Amino acid sequence: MAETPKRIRERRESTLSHLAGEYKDALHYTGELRRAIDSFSGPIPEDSPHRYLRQDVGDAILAYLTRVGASSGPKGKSIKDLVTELESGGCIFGVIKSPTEIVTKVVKAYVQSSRLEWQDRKQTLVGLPEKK
Amino acid sequence: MRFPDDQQITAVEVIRVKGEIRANCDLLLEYVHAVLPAAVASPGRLIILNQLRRDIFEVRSECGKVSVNFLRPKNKRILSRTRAAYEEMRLAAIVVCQQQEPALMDSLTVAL
Repeated sequence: MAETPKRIRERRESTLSHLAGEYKDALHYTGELRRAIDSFSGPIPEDSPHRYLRQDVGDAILAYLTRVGASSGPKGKSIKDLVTELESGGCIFGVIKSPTEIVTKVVKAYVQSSRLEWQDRKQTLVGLPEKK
Repeated sequence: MRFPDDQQITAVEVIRVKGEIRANCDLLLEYVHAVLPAAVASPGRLIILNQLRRDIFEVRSECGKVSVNFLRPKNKRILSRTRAAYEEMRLAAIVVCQQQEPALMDSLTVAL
């Protein structure tokens, strides 16, 4: 038997009310977690899947290149490498703009201000500038 | 900010689009100028804010090049450079947001 329009409306409103309550709890919990995280100082361990959570994209790239540069020589990384590393380290990108777009934008801005350098003529590999 | 989907665009629509673009540029520029002094101590933040400022000026410059002096609808191609510049500015704003409050990135993308 089909539900009456009144019953359907009641269910919809009840569901909306429930979802709104869950959303409010989630917002509250997020704020609490953020404050708890901020109360700690120092970095997150390098092997943690959340190592870039507290860093912006630029700092995360610099941290990664500094780390791999120290262990594997002054070889550049591609944008794809950077995206993979940042995603595996829990960097937040949102869902509308792609991580590649965001990382490329940051790399270009950092190259322009000489904090990063293209390592090849085709501008596919990026690395830290050589110290003079 | 939503660019028209139709192939043809009228002068009235171009004026509307330009008005919305300028309004968003003004808001972003106001934000950049408000937070720039506090960002001096953070090189990464300064780089991204300056990038956003450059992109805003680029959008405003492109916006000024689009003429509205036509009677019949024109191909939407006339807005392509402005649109490309606007997308760059939107991306720069998203990167700034990522530094400050990543949870708001998608909301900002939609709002811009």
